[in-house]
Formats: sequence, structure tokens, C-alpha cells
Amino acid sequence: MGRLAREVSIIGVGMTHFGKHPQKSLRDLAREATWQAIKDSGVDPRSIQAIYCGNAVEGLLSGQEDVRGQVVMRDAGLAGKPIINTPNACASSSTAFREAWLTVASGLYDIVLAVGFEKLFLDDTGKTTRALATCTDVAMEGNMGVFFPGMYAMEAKRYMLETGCTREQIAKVSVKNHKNGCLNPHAQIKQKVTVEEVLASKTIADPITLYMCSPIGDGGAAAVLCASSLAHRFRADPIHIAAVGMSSGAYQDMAIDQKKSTATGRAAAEAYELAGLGPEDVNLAELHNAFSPAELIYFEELGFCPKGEAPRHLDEGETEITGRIPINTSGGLESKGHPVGATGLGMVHEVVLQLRGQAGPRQVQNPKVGLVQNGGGLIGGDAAAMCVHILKK
Amino acid sequence: MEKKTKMIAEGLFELPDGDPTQGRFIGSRCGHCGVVSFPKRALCPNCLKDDLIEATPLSRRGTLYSFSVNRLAPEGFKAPYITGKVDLPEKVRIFSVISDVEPEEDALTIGQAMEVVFAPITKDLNGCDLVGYTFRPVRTAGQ
Repeated sequence: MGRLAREVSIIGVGMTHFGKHPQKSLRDLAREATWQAIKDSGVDPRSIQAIYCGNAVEGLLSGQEDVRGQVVMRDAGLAGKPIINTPNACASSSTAFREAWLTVASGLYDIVLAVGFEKLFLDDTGKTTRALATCTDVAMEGNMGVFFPGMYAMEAKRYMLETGCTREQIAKVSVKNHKNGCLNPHAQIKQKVTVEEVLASKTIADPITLYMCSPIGDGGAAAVLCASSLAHRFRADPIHIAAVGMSSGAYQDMAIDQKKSTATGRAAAEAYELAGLGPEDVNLAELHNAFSPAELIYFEELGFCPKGEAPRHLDEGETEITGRIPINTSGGLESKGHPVGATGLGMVHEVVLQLRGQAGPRQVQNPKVGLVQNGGGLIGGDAAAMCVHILKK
Repeated sequence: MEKKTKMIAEGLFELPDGDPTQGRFIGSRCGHCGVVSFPKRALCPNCLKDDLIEATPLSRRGTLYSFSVNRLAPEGFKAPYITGKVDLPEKVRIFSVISDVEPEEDALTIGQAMEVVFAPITKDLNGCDLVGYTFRPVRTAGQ
């Protein structure tokens, strides 16, 4: 792998509350997140040199298929600068973050903004569901009856068969994340649940029940990035981007017996190599648990424990806020919410707050390194796009 | 067999004489590395060569990798319904709806033998039947 010209830091983050916002337009959500991040960074907005915009499905919902970033930035006062759109399903804003990082790392720009925004609550929920179903290979899967909870349920069933993981253990992931979400003012669902309640909630696709599913939502999230050499001009506690790894799913293109690595595994390997760090160095992580069982599978794919042992680590409390490696302190996708195009930068927001020591009642004790894993879409049983960011104090 | 139907996607399978019971998936086999792909590819995804790729019919039977009983359904499908992934002997894994069983958890077991059925699975916006494929459990003799 090549070397980057220079180091990059995060000097500002912002996000809206994730949830149902009928009174706010997509432009409002993007503007609110953008200006929170700008104010948090202390930069003069006129010094921002480029804007990277992540949004997944607005084209199918409102017809604004093209130039979505330019449209929302019109209302955020940042028109006239280079605006780059990075639609990549649920990883859209992590992709925006990666492109923003790369252009500063390359030396082209000094200060840039990455922003994600999505508005999924409409009068017609069917329209939202149809739009999200395009985050697959439409011809091979989307038209063949693909149902996202079902796709995760199939992998969960295999995981349970191969590792002995139980329904109760999967339910515990949801219980933990809802408990964390109650401590997060930005979270969509602030309600504690018990293992019994999770298992008794409506079955969506066994073993997945309603309380194990992320809800649809509206929201925006943003980050201001700058060259690390300049970061201290703006704030005393910049967060360093140690690495961003990215991959795509290749399952469909390999013979079954060649399927040894996953998009998460490959993105993580790239990120660890670039950062010069390993999973043992990570103090907390935000994982893309669109459905609860995924948290256990990703925990292993990221190297936090050997295969099949994630349920034991969960049982022992290691992934709690007070544990060895807290996972989804924000509440995760089940509780914090999942306005898909804003999700990745929402995760970055959480890890930045944690590393700064600004996470309030859900603060992890003195973390040094945090990881974000954000996936988008499904192709052939694996994520279509997968990003792994490693952030450092 | 004069009924007007459309295939859900071109090139995924063939129905000799229009007979669904004789239907076969069409994959491709690379003459260099022997890897079989589905759907048919112009370029081998394994060795990246394109000069010895040939269309090849795939097995009608395989084993169930996993399945899900879906209690909600996207447009064009009716809940509850089952989706699954079936591994063919050619080392290809195919996603489809699972048919001919009750939509219950105990109706299927991971690893069991499955066979493909070519039949209408949904309709297009004009109400025209779209012929696709499903898998169902292999029926033993006498049933």
C-alpha cells in the first residue's frame, strides 16, 4: 500500500437528532448538521475548500436523483465550492468521509467538510422500502424477493449453527444498545428493553425480532477535516484519522470454497495496516448492526475475538460501556437510528465525542483509539460497500 | 405453452421448448481455471481471462445453505414467505424464494437437498407474469 502525503484530523463534528422530523426538510437536516460541525470546529466557513455529500435514496424518494449535495448546500450557504456526491447505500457518508480524508491527505485541500443526510419518513412507507431495496443487485436479488431482515436472518442462522450462539444472546445485543441509546440525546428510540421483551416482540424473520431491527429515520451528520499540521490553530483536541479502509463484497464472484474473507475483514485489514495498529489497540467501536446479530459477526470479523467467541464476550459484559471494548455506546443502529446516508458520519460523531471525553453519561473511561465500521447495501450475501475508520486521540 | 410470459431477467436460465420442468440455470465455466460462475460472465471473475469462457448448464439440485421465514414482504411478494440460498455442486450459491413448503421454521433444515423450479414468481407493473426460479425440498420417491 502507498503512503499518504500528510496526516489528517477531525476538528469539528455535528449531527441532528435521528428520528422522525416531519417539520424538517432534507435541506434543513443537512444545514443543521453542517453548521453544528462548522461551529464546533471554529473554522471560518469561507475557508472550507470542498464538500463531500453522502445520501443514499433521495433520488428515488423525491426525484432529486442528481446534484443532491449541491441542492442541500444551496441552503447551507456553501454553494460555489467543489461539491462531490458519494451515494453508496448505507455507507454513503462514510464514503464521503473517506474522499474528504483523501483529498486533504493528498495535499490538494487543507480544510474540507463531509456531510451525510437522509429523510426516510414519508407518507408512503412502501416507497421508502422500495427505494432501500435498490441497495442490492436489483436484477439478481432485488427482483427475486430480497428482504433485508431475511438476508441478515440467514447469516444469523448459519452463525448460530456454527457457533452455538442462542436467541437470548442475540437479544442481549439489542438490550445493551437500547440501554446505551437512553443515554444519547441524539438517539431515536430511548427505551430500555429486556431480553424477554426483545424475544417477545414481533418476529420479522427468525431469529430477528422487531426490537433487533434498526428503524428508518431522518437525520444529518457532518465533520470538518483539516491537515493535522493546521489542526491546533482551531482546537486543542483534534482527533487524528489513523486510517480509512474500504472494500466491496465479492461473494458472488467467487466459488463457495474460496469465500474466506468478507468485505469487513478486507476493509479492516487495510485500515489496521495503514494505521499500524491492531484490533487489540482499539478501545471502543461503532458497528453497523442494522440488525442485532450482525454485531456479533462483525465483532469477530474485525478481529476483536476469535470466531465463535463474540457471544461469550457479550455475556461477560466486555462490550458494555464499562467493559474491555465498548461497542455501540451511541445506542447503535437499533436505538440511535439509521437514516442511512447520515449513519456513517453519525458513528464518527460518537467516536469523536468519546475520544474527546465529551460523551457525558455514556463516556468510556479514557479511550485512545476508536473504530467505525459502516457498511452499505448487500450484494451476493456481503456488503456492497464497507468502510472501516480508525480514529486516534 | 403459448401463454405470454416474460423472464424476470435475460440469460439466467433456459427453458427448452418452453417447458419449465426441463429448465436449467445458465452459468459459465472458464477453460483456464475451471471456475464456474452464475450468472454467466464474459470474463472469469477468478483468473480474469475471457478467451475460454463457455456457457454451461448448472445442476438442478443443491443443498440448503440457509433460509429465512419472512413475516413481512416487499412489493410483489406476499408474507409470510421463505427466501433461501442453495449451494450447487458447481460451487455456486443461488438466492431465491423457497416454494412448495409451509412458511414455518420447522419446514426446512439447513443442509437438506433442494431442487429448482422455474415458474412465475411475481408480476411486472402491467400484471404480466414474470418467470423466475424458486427452490423447493427434493421429494423422495412415493410422495
